[in-house]
Amino acid sequence: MNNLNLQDTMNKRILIVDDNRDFTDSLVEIFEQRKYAIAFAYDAENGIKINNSFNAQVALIDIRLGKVSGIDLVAELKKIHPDIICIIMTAYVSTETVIEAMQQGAYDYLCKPFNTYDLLATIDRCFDKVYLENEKIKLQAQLLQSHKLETIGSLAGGIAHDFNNILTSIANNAEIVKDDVPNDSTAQECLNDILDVCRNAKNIINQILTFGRQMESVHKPIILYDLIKDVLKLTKSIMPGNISIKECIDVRLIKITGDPARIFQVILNLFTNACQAMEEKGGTIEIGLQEKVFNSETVIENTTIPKGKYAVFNVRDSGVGIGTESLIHIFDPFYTTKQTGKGTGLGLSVANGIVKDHNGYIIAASEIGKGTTFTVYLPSLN
Amino acid sequence: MARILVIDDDEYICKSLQRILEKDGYEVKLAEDGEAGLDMVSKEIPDLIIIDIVMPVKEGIETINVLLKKYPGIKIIAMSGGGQRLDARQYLDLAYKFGVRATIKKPYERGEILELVKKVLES
Repeated sequence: MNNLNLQDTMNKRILIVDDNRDFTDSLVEIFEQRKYAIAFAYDAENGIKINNSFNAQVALIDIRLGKVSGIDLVAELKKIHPDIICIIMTAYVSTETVIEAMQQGAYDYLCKPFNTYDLLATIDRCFDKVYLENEKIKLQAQLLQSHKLETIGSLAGGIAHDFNNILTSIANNAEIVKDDVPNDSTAQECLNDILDVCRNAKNIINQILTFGRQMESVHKPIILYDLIKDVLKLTKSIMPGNISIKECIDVRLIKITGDPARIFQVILNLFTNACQAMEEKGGTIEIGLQEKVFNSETVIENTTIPKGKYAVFNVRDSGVGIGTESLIHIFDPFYTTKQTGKGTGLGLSVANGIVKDHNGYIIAASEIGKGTTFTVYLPSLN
Repeated sequence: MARILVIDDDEYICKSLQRILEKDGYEVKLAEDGEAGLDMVSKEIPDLIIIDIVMPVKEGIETINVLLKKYPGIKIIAMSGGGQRLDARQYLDLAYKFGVRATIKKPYERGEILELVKKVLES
């Protein structure tokens, strides 16, 4: 774990408690040379006192401290600072003393006399443990936070759906009653107030939704195949009978980092486009998922993709195909070849924006009469 | 006067929409989900269908697709207040892709829905 030793030693605090003053001073010198923060005491009482403000992560304690046993000091320190890592130093190693020290909460022991190398190796091990404990706490907090955010995001959507229905009914009924109530009456005023608060509520819901979306747009690891399955499930019931699906999935577990709701939108968009392209003739939609490694910058259909590992998702339809002229503009906002009422021309430009936000690339290739393939390259987490 | 079928699983949306539309002289029928809606259309084809998206039994997008296959050219307005998976705009874009004439986000006001109904019926 050499990399852990690269951490700044200034943040590493060691307490030394030994009644042998010369020995203690020589330890202090060794550690100070190496830029550790050091506090020391020659007896247990002062050791505890000093550490109350020093708050060491690691303590080196002699097993004999005059009247008090070092093992008792370990127990006492552990009571006040449960996370402190204690090393017992002893010249008389017996199984019994070691067991007792460990039972009282010591992490390790050093046999006197020990050389600097052994001392530093033991201390390194202790700080590796401190580092790993801290990382664990950090990761646990991150995990909890991301679970919370996910819940807020999906709650917001559910709440918005129900509240929008409720508000529609309240406002619409108030509007109907307004027709039957005289203009200058208190009842008319009350109804206007009801409509005003409904508008306020509508704004609040929009704010909650925006907040929820921001929360959801916290990027996290996603198994791409799970989202593909979700899209297929959603669209299964609306697929025309003359269209079949062929899955060519090489890597079911490949992960990317991203916003699941937005990546879902990209897959859904490419998939519904493919369905529409084959609506009349029918055919097969091929859905592929692979991992590709580019060892150097690679150019595909005029798009330059930097070297790296990519999750490659593609949707291939056997539809009418798109001409070169249209293909050039395919990701432009409001560009559509569909008849009026069949598309806004926004879907692919939005999909392109989302993929770009995820440091990915989307490439369209097509041949008239043969079909179109959209390929999405997203940086792989694997 | 034009006949309108409202398909929504929310009883209060159905009732308030019925009141608004009847007040303006339309003839209104109600269905509580896509399945019931399709059943009613098979007996009598209305001039316009106003349909919600997120519904139990048979949801909106699926129903819209069946309706447009069986009755090409039928006029449909899709409405939505969003759901857990997608927001209202995303559901309505999807409905638009599948061929509905117009879409409206919940909550809407009386004036908005009446204007939209008139526009679609005249189109």
